[in-house]
Amino acid sequence: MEIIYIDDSEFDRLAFKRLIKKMGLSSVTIMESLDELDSLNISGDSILIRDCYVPGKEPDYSGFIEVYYVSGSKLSPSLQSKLKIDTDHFYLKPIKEDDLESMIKGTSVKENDSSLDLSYLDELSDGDEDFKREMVKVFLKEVPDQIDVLLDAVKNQDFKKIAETIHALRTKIRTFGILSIDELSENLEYTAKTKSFDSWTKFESEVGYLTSELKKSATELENMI
Amino acid sequence: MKNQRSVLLLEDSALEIKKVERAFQKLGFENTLVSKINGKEGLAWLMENQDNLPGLILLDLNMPIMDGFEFLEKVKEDKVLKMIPVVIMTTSKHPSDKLKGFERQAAGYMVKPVRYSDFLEMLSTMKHYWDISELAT
Repeated sequence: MEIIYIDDSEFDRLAFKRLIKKMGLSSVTIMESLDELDSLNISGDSILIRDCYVPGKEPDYSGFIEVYYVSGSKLSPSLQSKLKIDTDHFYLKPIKEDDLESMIKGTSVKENDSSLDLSYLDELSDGDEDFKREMVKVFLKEVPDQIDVLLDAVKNQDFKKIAETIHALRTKIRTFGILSIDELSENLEYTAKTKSFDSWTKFESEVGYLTSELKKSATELENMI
Repeated sequence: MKNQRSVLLLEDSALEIKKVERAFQKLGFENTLVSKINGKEGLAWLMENQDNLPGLILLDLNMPIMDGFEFLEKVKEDKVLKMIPVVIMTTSKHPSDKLKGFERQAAGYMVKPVRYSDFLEMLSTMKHYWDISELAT
């Protein structure tokens, strides 16, 4: 298995070299730019690990079994949406031995893969599983319709409706601890309410991220009941 | 709770209504909880129940037809209704919403999701207020 690492930071390339030496890995290619990939013959079992902000043209990722993204800072929703990064394919730099091992195995060893923090619901239900199920059912019944209403409102640029719908979704986001979109939803509601868009395209893409996280949470909740 | 006045909840989210019902149950409050889904329905209910007004109104801000602020303004314009304490329960942490609430004489402002401890504190304060009002009359 070939590992290809792309990073424009010399310091981070050195750190990665040191890590692979420590782990005794040999089939590793380290590059500075995405454009350098053109010169490589990619085999069907290569792993690509790349910095999120590395320069060069976004390549065609066919031929790689997995693509992992790394960055020195937390993954922002807009970047996640732009590069279509799965949260379990993102790692914070510096890359640790465990991180690299989990990338190679193709499985994440992160402690908690769940997108939900159900501590508030647990406090509320106090062990009453029926109550918990009832709450989940309300989520599953209402959220898909609210997503449709939101996407329609975005399509029609109906800012009042956008703000109202995101507001209605926020109580659910907080109740079910969907932390990845808690702050984002608040910002989106405020932006729609005050019509203070920096960029409409960015707003649309962030709404897209919000709805995809909600759908992901719905799938997770469906499996709970 | 000794005082058995009802509590009016204005909330359009089924999830939030369930949570308040649960909190009442969990905290052992036997007061009747009446829920209405917008300000217009809430006002109509208050008008129909002049002889048996609630001891507390829990108010969501973002509701269809008549929102929380409009409802609050109408309640505070009425000589009798204005005596009922209104606690705003909203997801908005925005200082301007909070200020707007207190300018319209809200008795409290709670950010959702509301925890049991916050509920307990708020309902205990209200109970104390009711007890004092009873002593005064």
